[in-house]
Amino acid sequence: MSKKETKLPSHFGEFGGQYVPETLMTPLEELESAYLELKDDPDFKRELEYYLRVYVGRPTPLYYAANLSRRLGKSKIYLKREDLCHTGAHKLNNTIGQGLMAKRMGKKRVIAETGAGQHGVATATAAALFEMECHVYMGEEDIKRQSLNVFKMKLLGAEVIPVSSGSKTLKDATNEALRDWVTNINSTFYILGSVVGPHPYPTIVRDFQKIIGKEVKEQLREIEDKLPDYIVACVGGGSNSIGIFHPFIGGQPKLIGVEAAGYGLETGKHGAALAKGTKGILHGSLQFLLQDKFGQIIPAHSISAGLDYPGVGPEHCYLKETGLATYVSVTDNEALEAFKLLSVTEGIQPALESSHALAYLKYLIPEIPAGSVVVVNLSGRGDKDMNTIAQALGIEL
Amino acid sequence: MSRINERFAVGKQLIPYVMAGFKDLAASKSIIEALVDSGCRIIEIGIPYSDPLADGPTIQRASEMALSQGVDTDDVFKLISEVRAERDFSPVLMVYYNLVYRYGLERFADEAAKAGVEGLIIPDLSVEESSRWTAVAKQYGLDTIFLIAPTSSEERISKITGISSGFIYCVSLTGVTGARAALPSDITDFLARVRQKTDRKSTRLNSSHTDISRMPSSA
Repeated sequence: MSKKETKLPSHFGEFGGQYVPETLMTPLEELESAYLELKDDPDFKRELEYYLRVYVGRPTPLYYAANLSRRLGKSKIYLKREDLCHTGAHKLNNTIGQGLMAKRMGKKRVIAETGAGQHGVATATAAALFEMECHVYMGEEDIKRQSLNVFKMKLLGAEVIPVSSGSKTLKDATNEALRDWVTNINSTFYILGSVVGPHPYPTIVRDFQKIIGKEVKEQLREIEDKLPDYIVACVGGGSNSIGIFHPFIGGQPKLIGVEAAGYGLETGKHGAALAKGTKGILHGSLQFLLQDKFGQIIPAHSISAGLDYPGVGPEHCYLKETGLATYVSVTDNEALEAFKLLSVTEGIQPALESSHALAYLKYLIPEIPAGSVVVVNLSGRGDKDMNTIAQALGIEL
Repeated sequence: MSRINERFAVGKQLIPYVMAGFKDLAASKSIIEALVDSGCRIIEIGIPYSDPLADGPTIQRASEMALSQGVDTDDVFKLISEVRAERDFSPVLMVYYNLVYRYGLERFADEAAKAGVEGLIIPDLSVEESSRWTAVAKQYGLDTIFLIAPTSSEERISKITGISSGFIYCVSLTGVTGARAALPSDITDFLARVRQKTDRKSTRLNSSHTDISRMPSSA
């Protein structure tokens, strides 16, 4: 007889934990018990699998990018096509999972934070599907930059609440969502969008995203009858990367996370918390983050709004410290070049976030043995980024 | 431990909150001096922080204003030691944990104690994560004042009353800091629930325009 779990591990090494006001401790405990109950519940699993299949569109294809492989050298590059998920990115895997949890817990209202608006749209979508009231917190700066996603959320029936505190971006939207949750804990489920925040969020979000890696394992076995040699994914908060890494941690594939170097690591204008950050507490967990010597948080910069975050998920911090994964970074310009390259070689327009992962291939491929199998997580599609890209290229639409 | 407990033995305490560096360092210094001169013996002094997630708009804006003038942790220690040099009161820091963590736990405790700080309220330091800090704080004679929320279970209330020193901070409603027209009607039940877990006969303070009430801890 197997012993039923009563607690999930709350830390990854020293990282993670629950650095939150006391008011949130009881709801976090409730969330953890609900998750422990549901995660192995056959009905819940069946329902989740159903929506992932017929609504999200899973499994997503593992595509052999023959042209790109030829262009870059002697490796075989596969793209995990999360960009083909409904709403255009991996984000929906998580919001469907947490949305179903909210439904089971009898919550009538969900809230979310969003930066670029991808998680906001994915939450609004799940809320529409499961007939729940939805409020999305979004920084005023981001609302200006991502007006299309704001419009989409409103059409999906969500209310977008502008956040005018601090740097008026994702980190402040997250603070505000946590403040809302503190105030409305009885009625409200907080659908957190990445593997960040207080325990148990980094674990729950990872578990809903690890289907990406699980599918890669099965698909590659079918195509190549082997495991990947390298897996490359971008890291902002880190949900798509932990999702594709997780089933392979400690195994043969070398795991490479790519952070946003923005204008360049030396400029200080970047989002590379693992490369340049120091240990500290943000949004309830211990992690590497961008901060000054007194512990004031320094806003990040990246051309990709999804990587524009001063912290990073605690499990990635653990993987870095233990050497179980390697983290690198590429600049805004390198990501733009990669975007253009994939567009013309494969006819696929990746999100600027995913373009960071692709951009690292020019450094990786020359260094690795010929014939290596490299899987890149194409975490989202580029439709949302057309204005940003046009602007960066100096083109007026 | 500090003199905070003794203060409560004398009588009820009105504990105001002041954001250090709002509207500037000189102004906050005069405010603290005026409060001491008017009879306040315990004063909460906030260190401005970029991401004050337990605070409502008023303290957020005050924090931003202080930070925009470059006010840092060392300035706050200096401010406190200056007032303490001339006036008798027990300063309690209201500080987010990242400011303590990044500064270095030992170094923070040392500088705080030297400046005359007697206790700390760290709103985002849960009991679960607190053991490293409380060990250091004890060594430097600093009280650590923990929060109890209306959502706290009986089990959690026991745990928190067990380790909180100086006083216990009862958060009177679920929400962020800020002015309210009234306190929740079940506030007395909540305080009674907490009181059951602490053996000390204690005084408390309620203001109808704040979301906070406090009582000395049994520690």
